[in-house]
Amino acid sequence: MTVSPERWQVIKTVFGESLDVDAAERADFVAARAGGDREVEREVNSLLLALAQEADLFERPALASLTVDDAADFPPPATLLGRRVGSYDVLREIGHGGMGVVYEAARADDQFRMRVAIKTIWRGIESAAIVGRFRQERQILAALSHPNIAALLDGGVTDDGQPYLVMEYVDGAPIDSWCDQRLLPVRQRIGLFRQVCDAVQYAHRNLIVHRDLKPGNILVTADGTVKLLDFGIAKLLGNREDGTDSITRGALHPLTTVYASPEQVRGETITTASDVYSLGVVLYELLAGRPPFAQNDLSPLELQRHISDEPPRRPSGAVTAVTASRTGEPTPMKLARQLEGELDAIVLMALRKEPERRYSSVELLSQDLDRYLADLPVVARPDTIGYRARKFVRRHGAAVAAGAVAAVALLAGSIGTAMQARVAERERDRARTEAAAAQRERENAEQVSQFLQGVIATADPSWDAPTQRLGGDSANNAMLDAVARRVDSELLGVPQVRATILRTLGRANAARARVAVAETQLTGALALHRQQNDASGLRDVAIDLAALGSLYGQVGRLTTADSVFRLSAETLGRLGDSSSIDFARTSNDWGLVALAQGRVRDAAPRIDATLRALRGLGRDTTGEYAIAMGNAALIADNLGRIDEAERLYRSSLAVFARVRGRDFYERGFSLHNLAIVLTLKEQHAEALSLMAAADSVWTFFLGANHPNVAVSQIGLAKVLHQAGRDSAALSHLLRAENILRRNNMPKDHPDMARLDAVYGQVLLGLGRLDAAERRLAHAIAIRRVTLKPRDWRLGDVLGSMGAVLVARHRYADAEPMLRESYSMLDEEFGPLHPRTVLMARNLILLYDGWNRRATADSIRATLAKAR
Amino acid sequence: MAPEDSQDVTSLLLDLQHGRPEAMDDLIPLVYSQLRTLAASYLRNEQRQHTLQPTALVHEAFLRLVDQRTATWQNRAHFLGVAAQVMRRILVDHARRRTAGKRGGGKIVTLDEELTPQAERLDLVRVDEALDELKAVDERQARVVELRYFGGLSIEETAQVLDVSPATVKRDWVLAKAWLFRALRDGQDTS
Repeated sequence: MTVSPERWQVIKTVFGESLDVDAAERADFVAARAGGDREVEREVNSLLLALAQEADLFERPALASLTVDDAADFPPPATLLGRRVGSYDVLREIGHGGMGVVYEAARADDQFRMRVAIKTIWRGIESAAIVGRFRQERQILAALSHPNIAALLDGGVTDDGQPYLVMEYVDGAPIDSWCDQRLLPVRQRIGLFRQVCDAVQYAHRNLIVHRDLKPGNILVTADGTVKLLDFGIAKLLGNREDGTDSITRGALHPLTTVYASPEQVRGETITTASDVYSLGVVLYELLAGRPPFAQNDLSPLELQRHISDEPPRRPSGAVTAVTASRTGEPTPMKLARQLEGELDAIVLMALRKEPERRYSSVELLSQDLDRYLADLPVVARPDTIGYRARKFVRRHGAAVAAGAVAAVALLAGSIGTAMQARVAERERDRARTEAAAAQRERENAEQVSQFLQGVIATADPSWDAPTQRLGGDSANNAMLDAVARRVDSELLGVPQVRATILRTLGRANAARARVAVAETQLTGALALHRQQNDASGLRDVAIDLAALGSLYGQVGRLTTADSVFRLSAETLGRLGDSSSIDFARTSNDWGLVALAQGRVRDAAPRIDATLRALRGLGRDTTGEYAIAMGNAALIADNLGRIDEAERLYRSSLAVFARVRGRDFYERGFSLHNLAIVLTLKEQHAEALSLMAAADSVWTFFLGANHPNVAVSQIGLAKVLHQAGRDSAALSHLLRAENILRRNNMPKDHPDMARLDAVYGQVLLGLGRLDAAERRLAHAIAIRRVTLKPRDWRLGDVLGSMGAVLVARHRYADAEPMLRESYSMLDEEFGPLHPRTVLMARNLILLYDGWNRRATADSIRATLAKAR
Repeated sequence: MAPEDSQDVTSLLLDLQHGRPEAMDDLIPLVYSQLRTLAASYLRNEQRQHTLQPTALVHEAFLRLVDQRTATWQNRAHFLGVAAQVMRRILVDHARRRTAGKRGGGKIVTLDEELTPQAERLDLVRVDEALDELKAVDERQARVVELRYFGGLSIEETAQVLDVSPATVKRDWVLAKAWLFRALRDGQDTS
């Protein structure tokens, strides 16, 4: 059977996607994705069937299918097994790699049969250079005598000329798994790690750099003693014999690049600072449960580039629920809190890219950890790291702002020069020169404006945040304002460039919730682009409109947002442009506005269009796709299809996880919404940790006072309320209210309604009925105005109000409210949805309290039957 | 093996990298004999229930054959690629000989349906043929199988050799396994 290459590509894609779909739905999925192409459908299904039958047949390498019967076909190799080496009997092979094999052996003449490890060179590779290395390792080990370094006991040459080393036998586990198996808490992990520091520090004092520090070389014995192993690629400082440094030896250990320092992957000189870095990686992994740069999803070259150039995330930002549980913490938030501040600073200091900016010795690293353990003020933090970091940021921040301002001047200047050139040249050949000068002007402007946009964009958290968080809100705001002033004063003569920069500024300010400034800049950009009467101008108009629409949506001006987006989409439509990235973005954001207005069925086709466009563009492993997928999940969520919603949220998070080397603040939405779904499913523990993760994503990207953080705080309150922990919920609501107030949210903003709705529920749970009633009344008032009449969110808050009235024994007032609420929820989600069921329970409470047992029982019966 | 072989292999790899493909002809016999020796070591270790992983063979060959002081990431990846290819040849040759010996005529041994999949011993001669067919459909997937199944390389190492992301290798690997299994199964049905 032959398949055309184009078809094979489709088959590959559909096959891959279908693996993410539940087995039961796979056939439908394949049929849908094949889009009527019977051959694709048949082929994918046949391959899926084969995969199901295949039963990991190929997982054992082909060699493993050979047995001893096959051995006759292969000549025997040399081994030390079963032989006597010096005064030791070689008992078994315990490992191999590097340049040779390591055996376990026992002293032949010793009645206690002391166990040792014997290391040899592979037979057949005894070249002068390798024997030289082996000799050097012996020399290095002989110089080292430390309780945390596996000791050299003996060494020699076998009868048939094979060199060997006899070493202390270490019966232990790699430090990371040792800690994880014992659920060792953070402080004890640090204590253990300090033993590693001791050993490395001792080696450094003996002018020896280890160069290959990693958990596999750091064993811990059952009694908790650290033993550092494998000085096989260690280097004697000042010993020029080993002229071929770093990367050459690094090649021996390709899979441990994760622990290699930037100078190691760049092939630069290796010093003790390289060991400080590798120790930083090991510590990072012990605390956060993963290395700063993970290998998965990165090609080797990409991994090298990340190590060399990308700043690592703070350890506290990298923890997960799994890590938390391994350190015995109940939630990732708790673990993150412990790491935040001092430990983050210590680890990041060890991980600086520039060797000279790390701790200048392992001793200093170790001392700082010691101070942390003793609850003493850590030198590194207020006096060293904090100070230096602030200074650096200030310098860096100023440099960024200065660069941006200078770029505006340059832009103005280059355009000015081009214009002068035009005037001068006009004398000679008017028509030709004018065209050339105009071209040059465009190119200059384009170049500088791209640079400038890059600089501004760094202040926009949705672009590339982790590095930028250090800059702090105020530094970035000041930078944006400085650029804006220059743009206004110096770019008046070049409207198109000015418009593009205004839009970039507007977006950055919008993302930083600086609404008024953003609106002025975006409408300014729009007005300028409108003057440009061609297709590219029209496209810019559409993009400006979409940016404005997002801004209006963000501040709750939904009707305006809706019409602005409509205009944007229609403009793109007029350009015949419904598969471009701009269309995908507009369509997505427009869909979100419809969702916010409660018009779910209008939202669905818009989000679908976005997903389709992104897939068509081959952008289905991007952050944007993950975001749109999250929105599709939200639609399913709003339609009451919570299982589907859960699945889509999880896929959205999976796509986020697949995007290389970047995190997105939008991931917070998928985390937040999945948490709410799980709350409905009464999976409180996971819900809480997801919501906490959403909160830390937003705090990290947007700063602690961004309205999104209010949303996640309300979310935490909601999750806690559903778990019956109302008093814990209260403090989150206070924080949320504070944040919303600081941001001058309009009183009828959806977030205000949300705040009051959850507030009301929590207060009801605490029995504070007056306050609950006030809050709920406010939420009802907002939702009656901003949502369509029978929106479920209105029903939800009416139901809460009904519950308050039941608690006040005002049954006659409560009944119509609960009835209305129930019918709205039933209408929206059906009778089986958790929200509807909850309301049915409220009705039962009502009729029980009201002594209308028959009605209560009939609802009970309906509920039971529905199950 | 004499020490000078180590320098030979290293310079042959460099030749390959610098666009002298005929260096492969000199390289393969060296890799071939080294891998056969290592395979033997593996088989005898297994006999004593020891733990030398088959996955490690191509690495061991690299460590033995290439001068480690001048080895780079690139020529390591290159070497592993060559070694996996050679390993395939060794194992398939061996299987072919055994088959010929047992069946007395090179008849293809088919999968035995009576056995559970875990116990099944794949007919490497058939796998080899199926892999050539797969190569015509999707060359990279065939390479992934060669590196993973014959070379015993991990997902990450395979990614290094092919210079693609581990995620890509995983996707290719799943589909390739399904494809090969089907080819073997269907081949059996018709035989």
